[in-house]
Amino acid sequence: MLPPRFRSVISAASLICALSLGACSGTPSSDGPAADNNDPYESFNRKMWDVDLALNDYLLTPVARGYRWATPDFAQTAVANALRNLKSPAILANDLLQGNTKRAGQTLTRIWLNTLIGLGGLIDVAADQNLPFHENDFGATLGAWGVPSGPYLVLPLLGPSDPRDGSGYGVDSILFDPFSIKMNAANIKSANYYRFGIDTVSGAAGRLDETEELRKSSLDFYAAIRSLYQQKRAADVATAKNPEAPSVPNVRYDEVEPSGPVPSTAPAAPAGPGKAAK
Amino acid sequence: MLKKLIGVLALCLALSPLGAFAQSAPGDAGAFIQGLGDQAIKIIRSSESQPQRKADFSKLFTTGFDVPAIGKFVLGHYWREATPEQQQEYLKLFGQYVVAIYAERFSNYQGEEFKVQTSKPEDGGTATVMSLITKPSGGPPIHIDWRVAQEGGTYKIIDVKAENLSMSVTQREEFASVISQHGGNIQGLIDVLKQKVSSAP
Repeated sequence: MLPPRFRSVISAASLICALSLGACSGTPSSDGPAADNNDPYESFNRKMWDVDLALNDYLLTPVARGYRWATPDFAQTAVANALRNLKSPAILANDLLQGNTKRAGQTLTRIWLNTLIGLGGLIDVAADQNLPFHENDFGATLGAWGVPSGPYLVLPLLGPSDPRDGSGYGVDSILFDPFSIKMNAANIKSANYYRFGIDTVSGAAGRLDETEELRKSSLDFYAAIRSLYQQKRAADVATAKNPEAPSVPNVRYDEVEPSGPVPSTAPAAPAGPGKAAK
Repeated sequence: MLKKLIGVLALCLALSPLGAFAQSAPGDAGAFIQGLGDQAIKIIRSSESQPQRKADFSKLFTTGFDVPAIGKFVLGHYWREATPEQQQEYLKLFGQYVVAIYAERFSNYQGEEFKVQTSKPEDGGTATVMSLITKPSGGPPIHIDWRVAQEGGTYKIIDVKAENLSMSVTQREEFASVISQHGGNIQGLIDVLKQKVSSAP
């Protein structure tokens, strides 16, 4: 939802990264995120993360607080719904590219219902008809096609990403976004900038307390976010492959050597024979 | 992306019913989790004073969660490298740390409903209990998976996953990062934890 020019820059940068760094990239999604954090550019990423946090603290958070204070709850929900509706064609495209016809059908019905009956997307009437919203994106599609994520990257403004997901973001917001295509064609580029701004503020307003709390409680906020991002993307790719039964590997609790001078109760769950053989 | 991650994680932490209750029927992990949730909600709704509720909550937490097992897992291979004294001190601090986090987040409870859906046994005596948290204000429900291990006729929680995001894995990577920033020294993590725990409200 970035302004188009900016999006293409980011997208191109991601692609370049993907090409040039592809060799050293790992695949955090297949082996579970536990062992390797897949972050060879950590020192750069940490600096970028600090920049993103500073922008967040001095610019975004005050605006988001104001928005939340000044706007009634129902209006905030309506705005969030409308933004989701604008994003839904891209979700539909990815549902189809992943061959998930059932989810594609849900997304399509959601678009019609919410646009026509839900006042242009302001009301999520489809959710009440047992058609809940789901996310999808081209990064997940690429993952389902077997494209590795590449190394973890923190992007300006966009935050956690990687070459695969950064490129996916570019595709979603340039190729799969009818609103932005229309506005560009009609030469109303400012509409896209406004949308990006509203989207950013609306998102931030919805997560103010949670962000604050996680940040306050974590010992290393950067590492916590990195881990959460990688786990989330692994789960998204698993869902893209098989939405009915995404196979996200369980962490093995016998990874830690249970013997030794352990001042504790019994170690959790020894591995079964099937797991141990693996 | 980030907003969703944080939202989901924090919500889960905020609402996860912690608590413990050792006398639930063995063989029924789902009932165990539901029991914990009900207990935790009861505490939060009770008319006791805030410190008293915090104490009750902390007690429930430490009996329902296998804090030592989680703590060891979270430390990863550094566990073996730690001296017995460091292990002791770390586990003590880790327990205080997670209780403080959960207690703080749990205090944001706003009438959410907690329902166990299914429970799925796994190899090696563990089971995953799937649950849903529904907000009274509407909005999509949150999926929380509880990984439990059977220990001596009762259950203990060994991990909590909110929308597939594992608390233990997240903390493990966080802790590893702290240790490597202190030149691979576990004492560095212990000091950071100590500071964190002492600054908690």
